[in-house]
Amino acid sequence: MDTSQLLKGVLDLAVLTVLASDDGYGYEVVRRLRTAGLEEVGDASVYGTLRRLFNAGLLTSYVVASDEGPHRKYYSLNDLGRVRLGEITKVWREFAATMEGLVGA
Amino acid sequence: MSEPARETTTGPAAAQSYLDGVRAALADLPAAEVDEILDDVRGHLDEIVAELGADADGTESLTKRLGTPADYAAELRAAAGYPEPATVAAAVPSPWPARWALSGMLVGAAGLALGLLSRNPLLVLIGVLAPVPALAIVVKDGKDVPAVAALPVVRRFVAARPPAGSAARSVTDFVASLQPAWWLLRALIAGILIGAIVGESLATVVLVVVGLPVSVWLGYASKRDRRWLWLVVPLNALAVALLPIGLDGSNLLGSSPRAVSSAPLTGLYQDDGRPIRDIRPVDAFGNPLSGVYLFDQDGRPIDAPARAYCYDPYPTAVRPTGPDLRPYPRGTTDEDPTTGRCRTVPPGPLVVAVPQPTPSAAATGAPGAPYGPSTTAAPTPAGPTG
Repeated sequence: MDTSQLLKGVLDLAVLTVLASDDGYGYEVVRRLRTAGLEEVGDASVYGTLRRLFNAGLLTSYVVASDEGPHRKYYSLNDLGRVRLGEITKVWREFAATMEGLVGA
Repeated sequence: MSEPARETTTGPAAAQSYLDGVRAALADLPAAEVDEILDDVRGHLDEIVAELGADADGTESLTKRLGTPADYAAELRAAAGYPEPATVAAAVPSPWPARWALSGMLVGAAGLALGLLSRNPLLVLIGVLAPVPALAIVVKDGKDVPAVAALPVVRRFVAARPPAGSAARSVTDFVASLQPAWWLLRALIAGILIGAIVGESLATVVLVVVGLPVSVWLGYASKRDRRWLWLVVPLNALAVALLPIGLDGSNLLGSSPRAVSSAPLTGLYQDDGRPIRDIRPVDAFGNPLSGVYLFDQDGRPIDAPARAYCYDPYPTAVRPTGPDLRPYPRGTTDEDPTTGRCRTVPPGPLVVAVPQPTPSAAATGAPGAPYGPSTTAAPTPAGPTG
């Protein structure tokens, strides 16, 4: 099965998790997800997810002028985002356990 | 913090055009939101361009990496949870341009055909002009003119084709199979008629020889690219309208007046084509002269034939078979209504108005012309001739 279908449902969790450890700009988030093994994640999907989480009030953003390149808009998790991440993580664990039980049985 | 950095706004042209594509695909979203998104996307593209480095060869490499701008925008839109683009407005464009295009073609065809048949130049003009804006619309529409093909009236027309296997279908298929013959016929019509108008049989041959392949090519071209129909259909209507006109005027081709007039081209004619059958010389006061010989500039006698208006099986001795050397006036030869034979009618009484030479005419009388201003003051007969 195409992983990209699964990714759609968990991209919020993935992006929030990546940003929970450290702030990041859009392409940096993409790279971290890829490094983590989510090779199939689409660039535009990540940027769209960042926008949606930002609009939902879970992220704050700030611009950093870069020395070697273009200025970068960093996103960071705010308190609301952390709360939300906790909720989603809980849902995910339960869901993953259920699926594991189902598939592994 | 965001001081005007060096490479920010003006990235490579490829990134800019890609960005424009994304912007266009998101144009239905609120402008402020689009600006925010594009700020991110611009940064993204800059990263990609920097990553591709020397390998970057314009928009193509960006597209290879990220998909088309439209794909990118769609993916971003889905992930960001934005509403789908106003699909109703985007996917179903206004039918009006297509309607105009179709109307233009039909009005063009009808205007040309009806205008020609009724000899109405205004209708013909409408027929010529109507397809022009329509052509502008369909050229943008693509070669299958999808917008026009999507019109309900066109779909009904196409659907009205009889089902395969029916008798009616075999008839329509047979008619359709005659299409190449029509392509040849219309080239013939056009070539022959234009040739007849020009009055050169060579022109007809050249036009037909050139026109046949062009017409066949146009036929196949309009099957491949339906946009040609906007040119071909009005021209077909023109050919159809010319067909009856051409048949009607075929006497103009078969027993053409040129053939008639070329046989008895002997003799003298007024400018309006009326034959000069006798010459009635008068002096400067209008008194008739007799026993006058006329010569042209080379001293050759001028012979106004008195014949050709009756058929004379027994040539009379009055006229020798050689050039007629009698002095003017000679009288005319007419058909005797009782015998049907030719008879010579002696010159009757004639009163002519002698134009008074104007001073300028007299002054311009060329000194080299010893017989006065005869060429400038041409007498006009006031009474009936003959």
